[in-house]
Amino acid sequence: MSGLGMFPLIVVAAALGAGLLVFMLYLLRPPARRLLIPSGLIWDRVLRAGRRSDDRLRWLLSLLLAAAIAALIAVAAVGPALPDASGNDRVLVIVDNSPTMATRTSGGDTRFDRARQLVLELLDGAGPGVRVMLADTMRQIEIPAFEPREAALKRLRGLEVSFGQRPDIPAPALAAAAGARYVVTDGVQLRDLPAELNVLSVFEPVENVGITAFAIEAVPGAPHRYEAFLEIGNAGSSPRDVTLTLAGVGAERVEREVAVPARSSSRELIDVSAFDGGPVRASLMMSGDGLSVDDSAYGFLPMRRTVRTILVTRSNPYLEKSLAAQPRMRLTVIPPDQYADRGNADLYVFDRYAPDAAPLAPALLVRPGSAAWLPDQGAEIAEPAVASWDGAHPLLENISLRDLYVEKAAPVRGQADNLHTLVASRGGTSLMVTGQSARRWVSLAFALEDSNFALDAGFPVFLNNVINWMVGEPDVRAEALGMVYLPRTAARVIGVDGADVNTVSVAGELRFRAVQPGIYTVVAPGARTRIAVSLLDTYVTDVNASSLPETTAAVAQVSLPGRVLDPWVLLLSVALLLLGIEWLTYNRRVTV
Amino acid sequence: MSQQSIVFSEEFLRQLEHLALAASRPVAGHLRGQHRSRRTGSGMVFTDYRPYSPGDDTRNLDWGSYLRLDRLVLRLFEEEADLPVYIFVDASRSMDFGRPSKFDFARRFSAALAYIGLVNHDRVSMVAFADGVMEEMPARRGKNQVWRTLHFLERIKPAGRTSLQSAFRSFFGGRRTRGLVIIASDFLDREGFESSFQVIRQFRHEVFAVHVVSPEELTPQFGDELVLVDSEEGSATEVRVTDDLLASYREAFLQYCGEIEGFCRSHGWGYVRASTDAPFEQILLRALREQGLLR
Repeated sequence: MSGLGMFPLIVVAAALGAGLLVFMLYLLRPPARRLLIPSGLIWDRVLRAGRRSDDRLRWLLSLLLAAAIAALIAVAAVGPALPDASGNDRVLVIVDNSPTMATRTSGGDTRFDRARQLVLELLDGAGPGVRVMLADTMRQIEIPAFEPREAALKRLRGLEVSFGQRPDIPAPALAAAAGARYVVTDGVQLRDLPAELNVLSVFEPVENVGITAFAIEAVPGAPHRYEAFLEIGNAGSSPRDVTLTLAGVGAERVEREVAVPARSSSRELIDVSAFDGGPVRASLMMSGDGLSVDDSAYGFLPMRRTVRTILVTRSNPYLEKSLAAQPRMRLTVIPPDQYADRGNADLYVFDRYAPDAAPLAPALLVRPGSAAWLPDQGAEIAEPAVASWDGAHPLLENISLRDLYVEKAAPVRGQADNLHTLVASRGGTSLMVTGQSARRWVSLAFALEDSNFALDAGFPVFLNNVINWMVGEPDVRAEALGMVYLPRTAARVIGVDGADVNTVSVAGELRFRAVQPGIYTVVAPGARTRIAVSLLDTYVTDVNASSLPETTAAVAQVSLPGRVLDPWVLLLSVALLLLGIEWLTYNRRVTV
Repeated sequence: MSQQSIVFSEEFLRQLEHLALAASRPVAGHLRGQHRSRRTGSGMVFTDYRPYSPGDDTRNLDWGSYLRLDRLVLRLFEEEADLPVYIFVDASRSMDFGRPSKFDFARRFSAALAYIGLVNHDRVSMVAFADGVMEEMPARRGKNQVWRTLHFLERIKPAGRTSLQSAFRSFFGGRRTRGLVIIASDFLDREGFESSFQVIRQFRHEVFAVHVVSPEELTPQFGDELVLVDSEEGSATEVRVTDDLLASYREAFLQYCGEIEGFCRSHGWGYVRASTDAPFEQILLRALREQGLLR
């Protein structure tokens, strides 16, 4: 145990006790005998001359002793780890906590449970002064360091299986000098282990069938139909028959018996058109499955099958083709003189035209011109440079306007409460605004022909964002288990069980850890994103892809002598010794 | 500390009766005595001639000169006067130290000198002082005053701190005939001895310093942790006594004694350092004769 390892109350009590002891020792100082002398005249002369040099030396000696005692106590409190060139008192233990370590074994416990047990057995025979560096392959322990055995075991109890990144051996751990080095792993994801590591295996072949791929897409040429694509892998040594179930909203679940060959995979296409829009869960049912986390996967069926869009333009083939290329798009192109809002559209796109009255559906306006329901446009300006854009807005999500060049534009004049500037020029004018009259609308102050926006890689994304935001289609993302990164600074994340998930905001990103498959909902002002989290990893499902022998039955205990005394005990002892010397010299009037 | 008696043995008194206090310069006594004075009169020592004037004592006419010169010439003789002796006894608390105490030693010393003076018909005054004149015995003459003198010395007790300057200023502030001043003291005066001696010097007295020291004072026999308490001031000094410190103390003490002696010698005064463990008679009969105080 180090000085800091002690409980605070014990430390305080020890300090008070030491202080009391020192005080009592000073009280024990015998009083000097009083002696009557005729006159102090001569003595004063002698002492005055003697004190000039002696007192300074005594004072310096006292100061030196006090400083040394204070320094020793301070260093002891920090709990130093003195370097040992031989490393005979040090053990390095690397625990594999990659996803395959969550595989359940024949004994009912997981490979990770076994690994933890092996480490306990390993360190059981280590001497009391042995220092242990515990590291993990998924970097849950960010900075591995040598520490007393009890502290390392406490740290081990806090470790768990982690997802979302490739496991590896931490480089600082490999570089550390240690008398014994161990890695406890199943050898599935952690391969090509360094030769200097003693490998303790927790591998045991098990049966495992899991979903390795899951996607819901519209059928090409038939936008009303949606099919789910699934890939099911079998890591076991024998073929398995499993029941595949797809559950969605608004229809009976779909079940299918699937035969999966040994050490191979099966692919399935299932029509999910019967489901209403929303989450779809795919799950496998079988007996004796080793890894449960890959038995289910989540997808999202779009709410609306098609988006009825009316493009009002005199002629704009590029815009027409870009809109037509959007999924679920049913596009109608009409000239402005044929425009009549009959309520038969989900989205209007007005190209260099603005109707007199606000449409009943959301609208994207490209250099619209003047209209009573739109904000006033200022005079046309040449080559306005983009100064800033609101990347957090759903319309500009995943879009960079750094390279946007506008030849001429008629920016919106003035500001209104219901207007929100999405793109601003250096002159402070608005190049893209959004507002709401009867429905939402977005207005570009420049024509596509007057800019390179239509040629930008982000333009199709922009159109997709417009459709999703305007038509109310929820934003959906698919992510793997583990750390999920969101391009936001603040949002509330609701987990599978409906409870809030802890988030961390780092460098303009919001992060949260998805620990189980499911639909996670990110709620931010003006936006709601759904994240379908699934494992979907062939390498994880293949839990038997290990070259290691089966589980190490018994492990030889580490038999390192360790230090007889911890450094902090040694330092405190020296401090006490110096304290005694100081007391003695003080009483002998050697020090002041 | 119990006081020692001042009684001397009969044999020692007889020895003292053969001694006399000696003044190196002519004295200024008013009464007849045994010391040379600047006045001329009916003494034994011829000094000069002068022409006879009517009314002069015809017994001093030099009849031989008259026969040769046919003029009346009067022979002049140095008149012998008594010696005013002022004996100062330090009765401060610092004198009450040692075995025998410095105070007892000083009293016996003073008594012996007073006895010599009285026997020789000198006018002996005794002054006990500390931070001023503590007690004073007026001038006395003749052997019959010995017991009063001894009684005076028996009466005084050590008390107070040392201030030579205050004592001298107080005593010599009144009109005192120039004479021999004998000071028996340890001279442990924090105000310094030089300024004090200047007071005596300006009255042109002849001074003899008897520096009383005790062997315990010169070579202290204590060590280890001590709180030294000044007997006069009451101030305490914490000190760890080491051999080096004791050596330094001895050196400083001897240096202090040397300073006093050097001052006295430089002014033509007598000085004797009397250690209380030395034979009293030896100091009195030998050292003082060597120093010229006694003859």
